[in-house]
Amino acid sequence: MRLETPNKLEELRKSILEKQDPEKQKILVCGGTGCISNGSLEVAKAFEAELKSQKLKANVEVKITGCHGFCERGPLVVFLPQGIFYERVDLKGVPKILKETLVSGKPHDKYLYRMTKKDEAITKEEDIPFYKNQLRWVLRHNGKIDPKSIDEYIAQGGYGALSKALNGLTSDQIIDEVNKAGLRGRGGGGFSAARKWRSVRDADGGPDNIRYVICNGDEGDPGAFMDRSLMEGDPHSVIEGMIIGAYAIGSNQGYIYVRMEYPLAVKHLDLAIKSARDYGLLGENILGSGFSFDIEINRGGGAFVCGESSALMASIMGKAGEPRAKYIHSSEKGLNDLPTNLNNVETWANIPLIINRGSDWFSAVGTEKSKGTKVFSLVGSVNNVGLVEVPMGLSLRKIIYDIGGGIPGGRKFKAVQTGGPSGGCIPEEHLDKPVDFDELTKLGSMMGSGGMIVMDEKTCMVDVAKYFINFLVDESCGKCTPCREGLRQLLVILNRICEGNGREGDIELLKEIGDCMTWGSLCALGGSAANPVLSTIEYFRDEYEAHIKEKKCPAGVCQDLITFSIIEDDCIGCGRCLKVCPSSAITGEKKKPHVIDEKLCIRCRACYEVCPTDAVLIE
Amino acid sequence: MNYSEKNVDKIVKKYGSDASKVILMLQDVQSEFRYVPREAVRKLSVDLDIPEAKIYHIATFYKAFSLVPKGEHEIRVCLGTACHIKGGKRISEGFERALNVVAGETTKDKKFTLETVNCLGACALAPLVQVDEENHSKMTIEKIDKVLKQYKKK
Amino acid sequence: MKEVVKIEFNGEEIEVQKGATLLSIAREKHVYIPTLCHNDALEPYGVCRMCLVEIEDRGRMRIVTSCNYQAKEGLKVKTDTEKVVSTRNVVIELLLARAPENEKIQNIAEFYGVKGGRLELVNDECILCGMCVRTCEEVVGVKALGFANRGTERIPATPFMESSETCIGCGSCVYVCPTGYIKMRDEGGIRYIDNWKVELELAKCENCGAYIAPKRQLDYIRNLADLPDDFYNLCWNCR
Repeated sequence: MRLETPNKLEELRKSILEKQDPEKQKILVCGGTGCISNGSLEVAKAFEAELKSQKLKANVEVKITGCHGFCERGPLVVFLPQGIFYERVDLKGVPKILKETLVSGKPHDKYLYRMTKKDEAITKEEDIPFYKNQLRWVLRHNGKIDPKSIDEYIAQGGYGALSKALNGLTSDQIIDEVNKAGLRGRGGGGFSAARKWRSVRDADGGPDNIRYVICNGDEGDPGAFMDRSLMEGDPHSVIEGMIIGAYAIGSNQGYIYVRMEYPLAVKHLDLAIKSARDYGLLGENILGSGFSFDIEINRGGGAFVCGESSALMASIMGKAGEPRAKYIHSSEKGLNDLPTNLNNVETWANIPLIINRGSDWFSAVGTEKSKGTKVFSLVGSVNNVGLVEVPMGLSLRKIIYDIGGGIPGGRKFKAVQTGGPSGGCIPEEHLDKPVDFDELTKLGSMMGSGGMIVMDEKTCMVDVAKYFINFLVDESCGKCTPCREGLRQLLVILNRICEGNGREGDIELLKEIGDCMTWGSLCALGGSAANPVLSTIEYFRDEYEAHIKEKKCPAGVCQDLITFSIIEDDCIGCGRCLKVCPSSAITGEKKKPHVIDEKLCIRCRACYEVCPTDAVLIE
Repeated sequence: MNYSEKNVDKIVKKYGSDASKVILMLQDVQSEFRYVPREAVRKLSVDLDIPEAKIYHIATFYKAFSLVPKGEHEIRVCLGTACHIKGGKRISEGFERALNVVAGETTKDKKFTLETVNCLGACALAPLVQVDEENHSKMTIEKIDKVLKQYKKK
Repeated sequence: MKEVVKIEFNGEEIEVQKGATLLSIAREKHVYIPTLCHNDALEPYGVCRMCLVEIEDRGRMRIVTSCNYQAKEGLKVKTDTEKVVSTRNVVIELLLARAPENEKIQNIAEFYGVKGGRLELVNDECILCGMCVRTCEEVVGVKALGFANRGTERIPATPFMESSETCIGCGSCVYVCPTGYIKMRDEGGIRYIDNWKVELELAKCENCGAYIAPKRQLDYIRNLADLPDDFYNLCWNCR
């Protein structure tokens, strides 16, 4: 059913809202990847079955939504309209949760959120510290709507911004609004979105006046899953943003490039595009404006380098994902050698907000040069692992402690890594710095796409540098000397250091190779590849020196520099370590202290993991 | 799945014989035959007028493709940053020992292919191991044998 | 299009053709810039990173490859600044570690006073300049070669590393390879290019019996060129 005019869209919206009953009992089950892995889909099925058997089926809707964000506590279930938030819901709890919440009318205490087991329960989502300190703008629909339903998106006001844009705003007006809002690219570059749009719009589109818009959904940074949650949980917000952008830029063809590791995102985007086409929100003459635009989905082939814009475009054109020198920008010659505008998923999702609420509203939040919010995936050594959205300018400390709940196991904070393999590690002394584009760059890291990895005292920073270089060695396209050979040599040196064969002069050599890569590489992958090494040398030089001079790993991580032993007094002789040791290095009788033979020990940590009394000592 | 020229034909037609979509076609080929057969590359080269050397580059550049058939079950150990910090590498080494292969290889009986992957995006469940479509969260060395047993039966 | 722009080159204001590469400008001014992956007959590739120069464009300083950076109005170019030297020296070291026996790299190292020894030797004759692949594609047009794999596994290759069915044995790749990595020999009427597992029968001159070129190459040219028939039957001397 095509919506021929903006009025028809509003009529549709009205009719959907009329059919909706705000008081209707809804059970929202999180369908984000984290919760699915923990069995949320089975929980949803169990709710359906239990509703039937408890004869409560009538007037109760079980809905699977996009990622709620609080992945640590999944599977997450929310009851509306009561607003009751349940965590860690398992199949066992389903019948009682239903009975108490719906029949007795009170929350089922056992599954309510508690900071720790001893704390008081909190019933409502907005009172939970994890959520209270967030500003969920971009993630506004995640967890609230069924991502597979365009009607639910429309009921929330969806496509209203598009209607406003097509119905009376000029390209200049739209770009001005985005400019005044101060939206900077959320994929890592932090480049002004409006400036990019303008230069693509004004570039020469050839004899047929063709321009392209692309959405970069290649999210390759390990530890980052913001874009995934957006594409899976609210695909229409991205699509609406792209249509508005394409209209302002003068493009009739768009692409969404999704990494192949995200099949659910591809599925939901595909469905969303089809339903948008059905309503005529994509295709010819959108809402009667005369503007035509359509989107094609392109799957990645498994290459981190394809997150780089010129490599991404090469991939769309059916070639190997090799970047090219960007002396001529993609805004002039990109896809098919024509002007191309590439923006990140989160950047596009911000556009409907800006058009609807205005640049004044948007730019009221954030710092002077970084406006709006940013979605982060807060992972690693932090209590509340999950997806968070905060206003730009919030301090790292607030994010990690107030929202993240601090470091688990009573351990000490050591560093927070931002920006993925292109970024750096920030130590405790800078925790009160505000999170914004320029501030993070000043600290030797970068915003990146939003991965925020918290590390504690048991993390070895040399091992972290080695980890990222190892990752990049695998992902470098291999075209240019500094990146390909530089990464290879960095890894050789870091391996040596972690094996106990570090030499005097190694740190300086790492820095020299790193500088060559930074200045001499062909693309931004090579150009930023040395950052993890350079930033850990900057802030954690003492750890490098301990490895090199004393052949010690202070954090107890580097296998060749640590020894495992069992503390006799703490050992209860349960034998679990003996059973699990892959090299039979542990001996001992039942209920008597066990012993590790250092010569046979391969330092795999299996015994450390299984010991019930923490009797295994690593030094 | 044995090679069938007809099936490759279907794939080419599905994407409108558009040479720029060769990567998507190869993904369908990989999905259908569990690897990229030599003959498929030859056929695509002829049908799309792309030099074989270029298609070979694509097939060896992207991790999505394998030139040898993959095992019945694909084990993916996540080595994303969060999983690495929680000991992902030890888990991967544990699987290597249990299966007697190196990551990237397939067991002799063609039952399992072991791979390491970069971030599956479920960081709260670190360390994560994915076998086919199923996720095994908060993996430990102890659990490895149990997980393998689950699939050996199938 | 003879549009002219003003740039500053090593402190001197000069007028050059708009879009001319900085490398071509340097050569005209007899300023030495080393290259390894550059060939005037091929499109600039910009991967060896030997030809680095420092530029200032609208106040912003960058290190760029001169072989494919095009001149524009107001550009400032410096060929041997501290940053260029330090970056280039490490590139030379990286290449020395990769191909320590290679004369060209040794000569460039000697010229700039760069010594190897700090890095682990890779010992790979191929420096991935890509000239073989690019020549086969752009000049010869046969496109028998491509790259395979990525990162440190990257190599020039024929499909599936098997004997090339399309190679015509012209030897252009051998001629253009700067390191001698590609090896060719003619023996017993057969041309061998071992890297591509190619074995091609050579055509004999009808007059004197000397070998002309691989039969496949002559067939290829026959299809493309408009030449008299006996062109393919006689060698240079007998023609």
